[in-house]
Amino acid sequence: MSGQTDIMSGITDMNKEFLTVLKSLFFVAVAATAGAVLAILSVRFHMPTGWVGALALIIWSIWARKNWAHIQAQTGLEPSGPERVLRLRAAGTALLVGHMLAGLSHLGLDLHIGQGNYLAIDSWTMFAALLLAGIFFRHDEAIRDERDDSITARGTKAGYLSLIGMLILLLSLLGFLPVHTLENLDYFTLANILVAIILLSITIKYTMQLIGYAKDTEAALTMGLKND
Amino acid sequence: MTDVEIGNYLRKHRFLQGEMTQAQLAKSVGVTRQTIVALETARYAPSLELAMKLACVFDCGVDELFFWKNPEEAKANYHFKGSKS
Repeated sequence: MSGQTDIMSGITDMNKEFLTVLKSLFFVAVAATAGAVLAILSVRFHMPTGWVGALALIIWSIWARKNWAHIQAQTGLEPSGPERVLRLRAAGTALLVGHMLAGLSHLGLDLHIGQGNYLAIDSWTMFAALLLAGIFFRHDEAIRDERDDSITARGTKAGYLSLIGMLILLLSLLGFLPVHTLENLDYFTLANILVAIILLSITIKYTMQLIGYAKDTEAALTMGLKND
Repeated sequence: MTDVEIGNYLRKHRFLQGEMTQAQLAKSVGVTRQTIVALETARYAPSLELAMKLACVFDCGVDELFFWKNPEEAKANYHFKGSKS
């Protein structure tokens, strides 16, 4: 009987852990999807949409600070300074990655500024907003301890491995795809693909870090461990 | 971070020390309060330096603050495995 209880408890723990991972992935996926949608709308309607993403990022930053203050008062399990900064960077990077990948999916589109689309301006607008939103969390970065470094190390490992993996994949494609398939791939597009790969690996790094923090918080919530 | 094999009496010592808060303990050893939470939930095993700092705060030894959750298993896994000449 106690064995059955242990098994059920183990399954429940696994479900909780899975949900925790899912929440972090969902957060990043929403930001990336938003970026992709903005890029698609920009190309379709020939209008800049980067300001929408920029505004959303800044509004989210303001809302997040208020939400964390509420969590602090309720459970004492609000994110630490480094985690807050990480969440902003994860959201902003995912937004840019989604935007960039959606832009690159429009084959033949000249991504240079002033070539009939606003994709480049939109990217830089959202990047500027990411820097601006960082001001809201500037003071939160004050303390960074060994646990933060440990979580960062795991994220960095995942980011590095994904970067190498994607570069190997790209090199393989460049080496083995038929010549006529690569005819549309000019240097500028290739450079943008490389930027997208770098941003994607950074997003993977941040996502792994988010999962690390989320698991710790979930464990504390499960144990009913509040600020005392 | 995963559940570690090492437990601790941080919470107990905090309350014995005039109900020290997590924030106060965190400030004393130079970590975030969230790291103290992670320590108390056994989600994180501290470095030796941090463990000694914590022991200093509570004026006790490191082995009075941290313990193996399963001492028999630890003894079975971690023992001298070479030959003594």
